[in-house]
Amino acid sequence: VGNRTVPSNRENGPSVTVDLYDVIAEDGNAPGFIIHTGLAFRSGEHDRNKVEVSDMGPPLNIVGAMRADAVGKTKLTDGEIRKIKVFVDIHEGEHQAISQLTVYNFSQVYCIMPHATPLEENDRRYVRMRFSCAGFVFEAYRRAGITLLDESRFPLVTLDEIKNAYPRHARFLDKIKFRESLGLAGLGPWPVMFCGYLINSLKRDDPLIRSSRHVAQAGDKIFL
Amino acid sequence: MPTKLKKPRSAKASRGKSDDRSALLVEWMAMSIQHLSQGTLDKKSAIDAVEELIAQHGVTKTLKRFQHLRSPRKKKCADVSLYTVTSGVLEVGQYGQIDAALETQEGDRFVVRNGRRTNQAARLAACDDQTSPSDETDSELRSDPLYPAKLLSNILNAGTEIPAPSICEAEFVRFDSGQLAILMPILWKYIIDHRKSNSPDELAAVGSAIRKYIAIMPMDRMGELSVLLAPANHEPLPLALELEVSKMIYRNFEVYPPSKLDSQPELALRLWEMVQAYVNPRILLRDKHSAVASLAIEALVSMRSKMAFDAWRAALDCAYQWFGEMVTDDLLILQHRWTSQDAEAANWLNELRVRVLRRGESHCAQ
Repeated sequence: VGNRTVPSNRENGPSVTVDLYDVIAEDGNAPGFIIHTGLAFRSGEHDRNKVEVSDMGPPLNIVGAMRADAVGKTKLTDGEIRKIKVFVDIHEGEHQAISQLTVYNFSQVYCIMPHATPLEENDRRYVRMRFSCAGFVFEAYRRAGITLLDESRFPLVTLDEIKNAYPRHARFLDKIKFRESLGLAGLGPWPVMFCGYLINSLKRDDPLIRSSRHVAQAGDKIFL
Repeated sequence: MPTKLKKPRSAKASRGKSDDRSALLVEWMAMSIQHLSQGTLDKKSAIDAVEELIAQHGVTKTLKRFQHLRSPRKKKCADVSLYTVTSGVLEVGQYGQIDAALETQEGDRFVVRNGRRTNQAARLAACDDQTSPSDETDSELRSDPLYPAKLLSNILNAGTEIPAPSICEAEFVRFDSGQLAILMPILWKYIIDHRKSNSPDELAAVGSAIRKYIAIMPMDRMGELSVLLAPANHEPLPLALELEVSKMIYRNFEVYPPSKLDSQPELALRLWEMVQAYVNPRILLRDKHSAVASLAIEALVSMRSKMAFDAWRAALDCAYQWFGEMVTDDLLILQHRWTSQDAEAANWLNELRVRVLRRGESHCAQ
C-alpha cells in the first residue's frame, strides 16, 4: 500500500485523469450534492463528461459513462484491484440478462435500503444481488478488504432528501408501494447510504481509509 | 476479440447477400421495427419479418419500403433526429460495448465508440426524465396475479424457439409449485440446447436459465448439475456459464447447509477439476478465471465435499496471495451465515478453517 495521501477532489476541467477503480461521483441539481457514483473502468485520461465506469444504473453497466464532478482515490494494491475485478465479474452476468428485457421491475434489480440485498425465491434461495449505486461501489471495495463506511451509523434522511438523490424517480417515491419495494418501509426517516458518504470517506488519509470505517455525517451527502 | 452479428437465419433471405453488411441491415431494421411496434413484437418475429421481405422483394426494395416507416415520436423526444442507415459495420466487444461505423441515406457518416445495447424502457426513460421503467412494469405486469401463468404459457407456446427475453423474464418471476414443475424441464432443455451458442443474447439467457433452474431445483437433485460441467469429450461450458453454475451451487448450499458430508461426489469432482485447471498461475489472471476458480472452491467447501480441504489449500498455495485471502474471507462469511442456520455445519467449517490454516503455518515453519 502506498504511503502518499491522495484525497478526494472536485473536478472541473474538460478532462480528468483517473486510476482503475477510482470512485467517480456526479452532482445532482445542487452543486456538490452527489447523486451517482461508479468505479473507473480504466486508468488514464477521460473526457470529464464521459468517464468510463462500471456502475449500477440499473442495470449494472460494466462499461457505462458518467460525468466526474468529484473523484475519490486511494492507492489500490494489485491484489485489491484483482479482488474488485472478481466482484464485478461475479455480478456481471446477472445484469446482462436485464438488458434483454423491454420492461422490468426496478425493485427487482435495484434497492435503496439496505444498499445490497438478494432477490429471493420463495424459500430464500436467490438468483441475483441487487445494489444501490453507492452500495455497488461500497461492496466492491469491501470485497477488496476496504470497508469505507460504518454501516451501522448512517444519518437518518427524510423522503425529500431521498428524492433529491433520485431526481428521476422523485414522483414515484411518493408512492408507498414503490418505496417499500426499494426497502423504504413507513414514512421515514431512514438510514440510507448516500453516494456522498463514499467520496467523503475517501477524503481521509490513505492509511486511515484502511484502518477505520468512516462514520458518515449528515453533511457528507455534499462534497464541495 | 470482436464478435460478428449473427447471419440471417433464412437461407433464402441470405442467398447472395450473406455478408456482415446484410446481417447488420437485417438486425438494424428488426430493431427499428421492434421500436415502432412499441415492444409488442419480439426480436425473432421482427427478424423473421425483415428476412421474409428481403426474400420477397430483395434487399434494395425492402430498404426503400423500410425508409418510408416513421417512428411515433414522443413530444419530449422531438429534438432527437432520426436517420436512415444504409450501410455500416458493427463490432461487439468483450464487455458488450459496441463500436460501429454507419453511413446514412443523407450521406452522413457516424462512428460510435463504446456504445451500449439498449432497450425500449431505457430509451424512453432517457427521453423523458419523468418516466421510470418501474412505473409501467409495477402497475401493468407485476400487479397481475395471472402474469406468471401468462409468461409460462407464452414460453410453452414458443415450443423449441423460446425467445431469449422470455427466459430472462422468467428469472424475475415467482412461480407457484405447479408452475415450477412445468418450468424446470423447459429451462433445462434451453440450457442444454443453447449453451454453445455464439449469440451474446442467447448466452445471457442461458445464464439466466441456469440461475433460475438452480435456484428452484430440489436440493437432492443438485448432483445432476455435474452434466453441465462434464469435461472428457464434451466441449466445455463457456467460462461465463461455468461462473453462473459454480456461483449458484454455492448460493444454494449457503441457504441449505448440507447435513451429510460429501453428498454430491460427482459434482464435487467436476468442480475440483475446474479448480485444478484454473488456479494455475498462467491461467488465473486471465478473463474471469479468478472469479470462477474462487467460486468453484467456495462451492466445494459449501457442499462439504471431501475435496474441500485440498481446494481451500489450493487457493492459499497458489502464486497470488490476494486470491487465498479473498477465498478465506468469503468462507468466513459463509461460516457466520451457517452459524445461525446449522450449528453443526458451522462447526465443521470452523474446524476445516483451523486445519487448512494450520497446514499453511506448518509449511511456513518448514
